[in-house]
Amino acid sequence: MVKEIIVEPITRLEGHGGLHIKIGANGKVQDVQFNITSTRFFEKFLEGRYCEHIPRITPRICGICPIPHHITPTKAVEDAWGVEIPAPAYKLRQLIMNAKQYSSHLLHFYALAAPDFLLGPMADPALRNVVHVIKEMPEVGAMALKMMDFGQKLCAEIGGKSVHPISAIVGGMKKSMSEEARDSFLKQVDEQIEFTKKTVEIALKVVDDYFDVITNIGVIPTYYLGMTKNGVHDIYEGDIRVVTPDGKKIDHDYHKYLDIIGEHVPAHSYATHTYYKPAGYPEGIYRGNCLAMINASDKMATPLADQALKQMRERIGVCPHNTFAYHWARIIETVEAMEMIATLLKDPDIVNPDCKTLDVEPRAGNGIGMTEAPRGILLYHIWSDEQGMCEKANLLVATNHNIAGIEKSLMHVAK
Amino acid sequence: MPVKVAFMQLSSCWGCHQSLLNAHLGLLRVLPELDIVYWPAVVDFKHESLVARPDGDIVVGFLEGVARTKQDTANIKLMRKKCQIIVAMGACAVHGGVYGLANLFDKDELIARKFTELESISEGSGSEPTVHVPGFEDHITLIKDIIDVDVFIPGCPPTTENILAAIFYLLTLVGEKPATLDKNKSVCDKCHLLKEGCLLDKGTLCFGSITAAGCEEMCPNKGETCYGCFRPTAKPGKKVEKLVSILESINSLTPEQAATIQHFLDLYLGVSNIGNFYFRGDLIQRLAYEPESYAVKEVDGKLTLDVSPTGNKIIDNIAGTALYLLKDDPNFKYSSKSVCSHCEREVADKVPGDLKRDYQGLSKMDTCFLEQGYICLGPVTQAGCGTICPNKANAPCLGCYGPPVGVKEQGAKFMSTLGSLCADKDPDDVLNQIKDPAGLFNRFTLAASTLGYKRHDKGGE
Repeated sequence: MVKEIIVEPITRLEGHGGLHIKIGANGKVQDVQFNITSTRFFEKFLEGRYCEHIPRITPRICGICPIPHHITPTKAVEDAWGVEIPAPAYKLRQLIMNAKQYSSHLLHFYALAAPDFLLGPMADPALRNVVHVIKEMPEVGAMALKMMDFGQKLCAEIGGKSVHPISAIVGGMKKSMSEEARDSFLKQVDEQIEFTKKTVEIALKVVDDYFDVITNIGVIPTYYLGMTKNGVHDIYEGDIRVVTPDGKKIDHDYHKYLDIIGEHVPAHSYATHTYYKPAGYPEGIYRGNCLAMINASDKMATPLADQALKQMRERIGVCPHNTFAYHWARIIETVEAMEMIATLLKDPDIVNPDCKTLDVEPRAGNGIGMTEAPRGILLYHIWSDEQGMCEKANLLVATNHNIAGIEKSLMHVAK
Repeated sequence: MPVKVAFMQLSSCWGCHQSLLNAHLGLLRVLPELDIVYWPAVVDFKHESLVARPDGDIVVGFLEGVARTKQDTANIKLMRKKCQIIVAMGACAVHGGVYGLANLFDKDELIARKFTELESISEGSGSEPTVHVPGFEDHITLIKDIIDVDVFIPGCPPTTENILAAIFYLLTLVGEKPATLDKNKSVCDKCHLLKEGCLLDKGTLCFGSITAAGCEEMCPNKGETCYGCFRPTAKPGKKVEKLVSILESINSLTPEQAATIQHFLDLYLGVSNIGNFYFRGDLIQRLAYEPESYAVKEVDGKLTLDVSPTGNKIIDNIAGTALYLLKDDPNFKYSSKSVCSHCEREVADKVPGDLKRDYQGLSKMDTCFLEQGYICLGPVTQAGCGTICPNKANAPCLGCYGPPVGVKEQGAKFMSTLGSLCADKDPDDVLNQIKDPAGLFNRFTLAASTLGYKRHDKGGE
């Protein structure tokens, strides 16, 4: 008899996911389905909108990572219209992207993942959550909250709002940071770097405690899809880098993404399965997100993060396939984000009001913008008419790059 | 005792929840008050545990998002059954939000683009998924048109402060009652003035006779009116007849009486006039904006409004009479402010020149956007956001809090605002410059719109 186990919903996941596990008569797992049960059709209703307003609609794709959904379409429209932005705008965007990376990764580590590690995966479900982590470990909890608060407040300072920012515009940014605001954030930098170091200690202790799990469970060779700027880890600008299951790195111009990334529409999920086109489906299923970024990078952009990367590679190799290594990779990216924030806050361009190109003109054509959002490559492809109205749009959303890979991991673990 | 609450994510972005989490250290104050029995992104309770709860077991249920899928619709109805108070949290739950823009298209067009036509979909692989997925609704329907919603918190997202204020306010309504509360007695029972010097005997309005006993303050003992903050008693005191006769003898209210009655209704009926959120059952708001929706009835030869906030006939008649007296009274005040009324930008009453698009030039920080020619929805948007976009980000208001209370159609109201601002120009010429009125003026309220935008046909309206 075929039995079916249904997990509904998958918890500590933003969005809607269910799990169907089919078990055959022999008691063995036959099939695992990861069902994403909602979608909102942005790809259609962006048609007919003003191109410059797309970045003021699309943040509503994700309330946890609205910053990349604000910045990336702005870059796509600039690409379509042939608009260059001034250096201060570039740096403000890098700063807000890193502020988001910082708060989102910490939310993920402390609120979504840590309850399992810090309280143990077999803890009472009523207690296995961040609310309880705060209660049981008030010092760690308060530190985590202060770190997320710093990141979110910095996003709000630059973006207007941290959830659904509004300050990026085709041609640059609507305003730079005030010196007063910059100074108030600069004052907190040392403390935040200390917090970051403590988080690394906590994470490394988890690594030691769960080293068996990390090295033995969910080790799945796949392709990885990340973004680097000439081999260096970069979340704001760069090209696509694919890592093959045997660790070979291949660079691709992101303007040719249609030759590189395919979407397979499964019958059981509203989120498509993306795959590496040259390898076909399902062989070309890849994973995205922090481990993919880490595996794709030759080095990190900042010294402490690069040191942390080397440490990880010494322990589990240059291109680890361990699913649990995602948590480790996320921490390395968190360190880089904090170092980037510190560097950028000290840059005088951050308070330079020359942050917008004044003569912007629409033109007919299509453009592509790409960034690394906290959960993977985010790509917007926007077609504009000569008046700057959106004719159509194609989106490759960060989380999507992980759906097929997650299903593959779940299948592996279930078996 | 912590209050049982549930957070349900429908089709949405989780941004309202993130806005709540942005309280960060402030969460340490609110979390101990809440017994979270469902919040899939945060705690591990599964859907079946929600289904298994008795009806009405959960005190407050928060809904974020829209009914895009049939699963969403089922979850909305499930939450209504399990929760005593349903809160629509955020622009999507209140007005449909940006996902409502999908109503410009037919469902088949949406599905075809998403699952078949996208440039990156491998040829031949795409059709609508049907296995273990719920299926889509034809269009976005407002939640309040699917179930009764008790509380509305607009905004995309509502600010952290808005959400916390609503939660704390609800806790005062449903949280632990004072141990002294006794609904079988009235405030009059403990009043020193009952036998001598009763305020009612002097013709002063006092609502102690219909208010539950148990308060320690006892305003009347200090010679002050009882405004009813302990809310209805099940057994009104003897003095209630006197209260009724005073109300019935009033032909027109004095300013003091009007203020007293309004203050009483606010406290007694537990409606908030805080501005950042509102109640379905807010009788005063309804009186301000839809007075014609009340039926007038005659009781013992006197006119009252037909309302039943408590289920006690005597008390309901008093509330109805109080509302009737306020109805056309010039002293009755209820304001719902727009973003403009809080905006720090200077207004010079200058007519805008040609309309500009936002990528053109760079807007000045200190002057009204509309006067610079940039579209800004401030005049037709409910206040409460803290005017972040215009005053902190140099960006115009997009209208995410929806229309001020009393304005039915945000887009139509904006078109008439724009028409009157550009009075020296032909209004048709002005509106013809707008190529996407639905996306600009009803970005967050299209699903609630009565404008009947035509379904999309390549750039048309």
